[in-house]
Parts: sequence; structure tokens; C-alpha cells
Amino acid sequence: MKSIRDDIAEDLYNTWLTISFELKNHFRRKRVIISFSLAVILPLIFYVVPKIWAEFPDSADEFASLSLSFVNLLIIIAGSLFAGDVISGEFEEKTGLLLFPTPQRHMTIFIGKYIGALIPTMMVVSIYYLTTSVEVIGIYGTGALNHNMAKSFLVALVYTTSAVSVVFFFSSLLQRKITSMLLGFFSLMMILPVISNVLQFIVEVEPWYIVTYSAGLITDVFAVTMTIGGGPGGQFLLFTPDFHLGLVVMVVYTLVFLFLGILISIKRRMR
Amino acid sequence: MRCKYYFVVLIVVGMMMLSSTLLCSFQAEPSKMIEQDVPDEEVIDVGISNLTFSKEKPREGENVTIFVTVMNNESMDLGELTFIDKVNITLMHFEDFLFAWENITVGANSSKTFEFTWQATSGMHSFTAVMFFEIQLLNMSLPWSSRSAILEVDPEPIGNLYFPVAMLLVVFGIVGAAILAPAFFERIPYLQQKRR
Amino acid sequence: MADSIVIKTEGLVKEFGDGVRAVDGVSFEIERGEIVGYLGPNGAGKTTTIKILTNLIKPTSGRALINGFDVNRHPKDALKDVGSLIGVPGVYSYLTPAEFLNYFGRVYRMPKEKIDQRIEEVLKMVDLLKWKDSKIGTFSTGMERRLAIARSIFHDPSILILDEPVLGLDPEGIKEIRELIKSFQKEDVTVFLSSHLLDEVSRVCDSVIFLYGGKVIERDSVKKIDEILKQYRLIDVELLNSINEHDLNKLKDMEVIDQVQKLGENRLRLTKTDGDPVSTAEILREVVENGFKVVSYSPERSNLEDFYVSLMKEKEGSR
Repeated sequence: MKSIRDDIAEDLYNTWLTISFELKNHFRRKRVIISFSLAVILPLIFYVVPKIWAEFPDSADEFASLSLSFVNLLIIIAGSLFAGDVISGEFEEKTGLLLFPTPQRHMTIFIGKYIGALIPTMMVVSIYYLTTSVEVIGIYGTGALNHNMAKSFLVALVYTTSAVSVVFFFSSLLQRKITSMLLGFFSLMMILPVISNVLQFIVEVEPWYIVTYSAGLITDVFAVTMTIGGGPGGQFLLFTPDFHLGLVVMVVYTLVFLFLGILISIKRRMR
Repeated sequence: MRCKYYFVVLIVVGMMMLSSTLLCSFQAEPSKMIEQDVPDEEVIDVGISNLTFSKEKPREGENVTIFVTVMNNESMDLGELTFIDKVNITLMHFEDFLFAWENITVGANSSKTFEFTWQATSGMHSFTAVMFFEIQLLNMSLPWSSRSAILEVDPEPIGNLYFPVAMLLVVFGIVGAAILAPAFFERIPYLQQKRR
Repeated sequence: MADSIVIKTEGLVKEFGDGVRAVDGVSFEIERGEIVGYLGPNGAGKTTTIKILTNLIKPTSGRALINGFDVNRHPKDALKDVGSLIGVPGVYSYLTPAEFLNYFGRVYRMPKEKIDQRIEEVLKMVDLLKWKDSKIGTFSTGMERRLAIARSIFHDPSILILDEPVLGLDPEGIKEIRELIKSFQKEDVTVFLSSHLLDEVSRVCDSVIFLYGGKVIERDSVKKIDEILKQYRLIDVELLNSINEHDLNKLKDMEVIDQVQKLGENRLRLTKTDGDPVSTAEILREVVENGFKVVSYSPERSNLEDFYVSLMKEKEGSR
């Protein structure tokens, strides 16, 4: 039996191999162009529309908060595109018949696949923030860029880990990649937000345990009162997520769904 | 092929949401202070001419000075007036309450500005200044004069940079540990025996 | 485990969720340099055994060892010298063959120079060298299959586990793969080949393990099997008129025929087990003389595997 040091070094190298292989696979596909383009176009719309037809908000925080209200959607889109088929694709297209009978622990393959989906999604988020930051500097000057933007970026990255985990879980659970992508997308885009809204507005209970509710922190950190949505006074929110609790919820989702996904994948393998 | 439909649906849904949000948000112009004029059926030219705030969009906890200007364009001095502020704390419910009041006197053909200090709480607040006369002027009907303005107060910034960094480290730490764990578990004699 | 034994299974059992035992106590040993066929009808448990041997699934009980390492517990050690081809695997359509093989070369810890050299060698071997840098997505099914075969031999493994390797290949491709497998014999490569085609196995293997209903029912050398098969003459007959019970009994009563099997409305399979080639002609004469109008008469060998399995089933039943 080889030494534990060699064993660990091998596992780390195998994980790295899977990550680089996954990245190579992702970067050859149109999904990269789609998500990276969205990461530039979406914040640009928030610059161009007020520039031509309206006025920019008074403060940089307001502008950033408005522009970044869509990073959540982009995280879900990119996460579904990159993680939606990482496992189900191996089963559906039977590429796993080549990949799994190799001298690697399946744990390292699955974790490598998760990280391989996480990296491009985080890159998409970073591009979105970079574009928004450039716009903020262009409109309000360099002094307008404050630590709220960094805070929001970090919260968005934590949310990215959980969104990718949820989609990864569906990818390991389902047979077909289109089903896993769609279910991952709609659970984050519709199912969880609907549950969250029902709890908030009908049951009037704070849905602190729902990750999409915690995702509100991405813009909440700017502490800007938004009047989106109309109605008297403009705002409907009954609850706002607690910063620390919200982040902890995101991390719990990340770990629970990731390891459930890995367990299911290992159990299922190429049955 | 089905993937292509999926992308198209995603983009259309996204664009629809984006456009509706943009329309709502830019139409609403959240940063503007909204002034509401209540038309006075003036019989005599006396009333509140202005209601302003020291900051257009203060942060929660900041002290805001509310300026109320009363003008008297008549040729007579006005005796004691009573001034009342109404404050809306809750956006949805508009629960009014008396914020402050003051008895004032304003000389003929002059105006006077009164200041009130208020510690801002987050949310939208509607301030209404109401002026009415306690003195009785002979043969003259004196309506109330009022003016309202809405002030939007941003909540205090929440959170810090360290906690999300810590959370990211927790995620990557645990994922990293999961990569290393099998090498350790494989060497635990009890587990080895159990598997045999 | 003796050094010469490279593949060993001990009482392998695999039970799926629905209670079906796909593999039921399979035990066998394969020595270094042997080319062993793993034969059985569809659903016999061949692929399940192969999937256990390649760590794709875990056995319910028993264990599979390669080079002395338990495949499911120590896959890194057990599979490092194994090349495998299971069923009809997919290939990563967005990559080129060179990138695809490069990844697997790195997984098997091959040095960079060796990887580059082997890419040229194996792609030439499977006739894909000129498509080295083309996207795999543009390949035909046959080309994808050849690439999968190239992947299985890419790292020069000393053990090859192949599950239906000629599936989906054209006759020329089948011939090439057959030659390739035969060439491994000279290189001391151990090959474990699963197939449901007895003919295929008999052409390339030294010995054959027969599997039926998840159980090993026989292990023979190909030579011995050939001798047994020589005794059997299978003749597919098509008659002009439809066959009734009376006709069947009439045929069964003929001394020159050992077994009669009705295949269709007017199709029959006749069996003779005396091993004498003359009897084929004799059977035809007797059938015609008894008033049957023969449309076609073809002594077959292609369906021998079905026949052999049915014999094995009888053998199992008599135990």
C-alpha cells in the first residue's frame, strides 16, 4: 500500500485533472459564449436605458443595487448551464463508461466536476460585477466604488456555490441532462421563490431557511430602499434576510446538496 | 436541438423580467423627494410655503433637520399659530402621529422658517406640516394650511467583508477535506475490517 | 493470489433493487497472458460482471481482484494497468481525439512525450490519424467506436477488459479488432472478452467461460468447444407450405434427425449430432422423399451460440 502522502497527492492531482478536463469541455461549448455575453449585456442595459430614456439614480449604491438585482438570475442561468449536465450527461451519453473505469476515486471525479462547473459560473459572476463596477466608475467616479460592492460580490460568490450545488444535485439524481438542467433552473428560479413568497406574504413567516430568500442579501448589502414593484410606498417586503444567517443557509445548501449529489452519483454510477 | 429551445426560453424570460424591472424602477425614480401640494382655499394669504429636509436621502440613524417655512403676505401680524408635524413610520399602514408642535408668530409681509430635528429610521416617511390658527380673526374664515413631503431613508449598511470570505473558506475547506478523506478512511483499521 | 493470476472473482453476487440477481456467485481466475472469452446470452450477467471488474458498480457480496487488489476498495491500484471498453461508450464530442486521449494519458500518469507518441500510434492503429485534430462531434458511429477502442489500449495496459468490442463495427472493423486482440497474445497481454457471439470468441480466445442466469456453468478451452460443436449440424429449412403438428411428428420420427424446432409458420430448424457431414445431404433427401416441398435449405453455424447455451442450460438443469 502506498504512503498516505502519495495517496493524497494522487487524489489532488486527479481532482485537478478532472477540473481542467471539465473546463476544457465547457469552454468548447456555446454555453460559455451565452453566459459570458449575458454577464456583459445585462449590466450594460442598466447603463444604456437610463442614459437614453431616463436618469441615473442619485447614488452609486442605488445604481449598483439596481444593476446587480439581476446577478441572481444570471447565477441560476450559468449554474444550470454549467452544472446541469455534469453527471446526467455522463450517464445519458455514456461517456462515463470511459471515464469511471479509470484508476481514480470516483469522489475525486465528482468533486472535480463540481468545481469544474463552479469556476465558469463564478467567472460569469465576476464579469457581471466587473462591468457594473466600470459603469459605476464611469457614472459616479472612482470614489463611488465602495466596499458594499465587494461585499455584494462575495455574497454572490457564496450564493453561486449553493446554486451550483442544487443544480449538481439534480444532475446526479436524474437520467436526462435536459431534465436536470431545467429542474435545477426552475427550482431556483420558481419553486423556491414561490415557496418563499407564500411563506412571507400568506403565512407571514420569515422563510430564512430558503436559499433564494437569502440571495436577497446580494443587493440588500447596499442598504438601498428600492421602490421596485409599485404599490403604496412602493415596497412590499415584510422580511429581509439576516446577513449572517443568510450566508450560513447558503453554505448549508452548498454542502448538503453537493454531498447528497456525490453520494447519489457514487451509488448510481453506471447502473 | 432541445438545448437551443431551452436557451431561447431562458433568454426571453430573462429579458421580460429585466425590461419590466427597468420600466418600474426608472419610472418610479426612487431617489426623488416627492412633494405634494395641498391646494389651499385661501381666503387670506397666509400659509406654509415650503417643507424641506436637510438631506435628500439620509441613512438610518442620521439626524435630519426638517425645515418648515410659513409666510404671511397680509398686512397684519398673525398672533400665535400652532404647528403640527405628522410622521408616517410605516410605509404600508400610514400610521400618523403627532411628531412635534409649536406655537409661532409671523409678522406682516414676512416669512419664517422653523426647524425640527428628527433621527432617521429606515424606510419611506411621509411628513405633513399642518398650520392652524388659534386666534379668531373677525369676520374672516381661515382654512388650515398644510404641506406634505416624502422622505426616503436608506437602512444602515448590513454585513461585513469578513463573514462571506469566511463562508467561502468553509465551503472550499470542506470540499478539499472531502477530496482527502478517502485516503484517511481507507487506513482506519476498524473500517477496513468492517468492509471485509 | 498467485502471481500468475491477474483477474480473480470470488463469489460475486449482484442484486438489483427489484430483487433480480444479475450475477449469482460468479468465481473464476484468469492467468497472465490468457485471452478468455466470457460468453452467455443477453441478460446472463456478462456486463454486470465486467462493470464490477471495472469499478462501475459494487457487488452485493463477493469481490473482484485485479493484480491482487480489490477493484472496489482500491480502484487506483487495481485499475492502473487495465484498459477497458464497456458496451458502446459515448465520447466527448466537443474535444478532438488528441485532447481526448491526452486527458486519459494524464489520468494513467503517462509522461508527456509518451502521450504524444502514443496518440500518433493508436490513432494510426484505428485509422483515425488524419482526424487527430478534428472535433469528435463530427465523427460517424464507427469512428467513435474506434476512438473508444484506441482509448482502451492507449496506456499500453497489460490487462484488457472488453465488453462486446465489435458491437457497431462494420465487417472490416470487426476483422481489424479481431487481429488486434490476437496480436495481444504475442505481447503477453491478458484479455477478458465478453461477447454473446460464440463464433467471435472462438476465433480469438484461448478459453471460454460460459455464463447462464448469472452463474458460471462451464469453463472450457476453445479447442474442446470446437470439438463439441463439430458434432452439431444445424439446418434451417423453409418449406412451401405451413407446418402442422402432423408434419412435425413426421420429421421427428425420421432417424437421420435428432431434434426438430419450429421457427415460424413454414420455417424449421433441424439438428443432427453425429458430427458426420454426410448426414446434411441425407437429411435433405429424406425430407424431400417424405413429401415436404423445400424452398430453402441452409446448414447454419451462425446460431451455434444459442444452441450451445441451450445445451448448457440442460446441463445446469441436470445438476
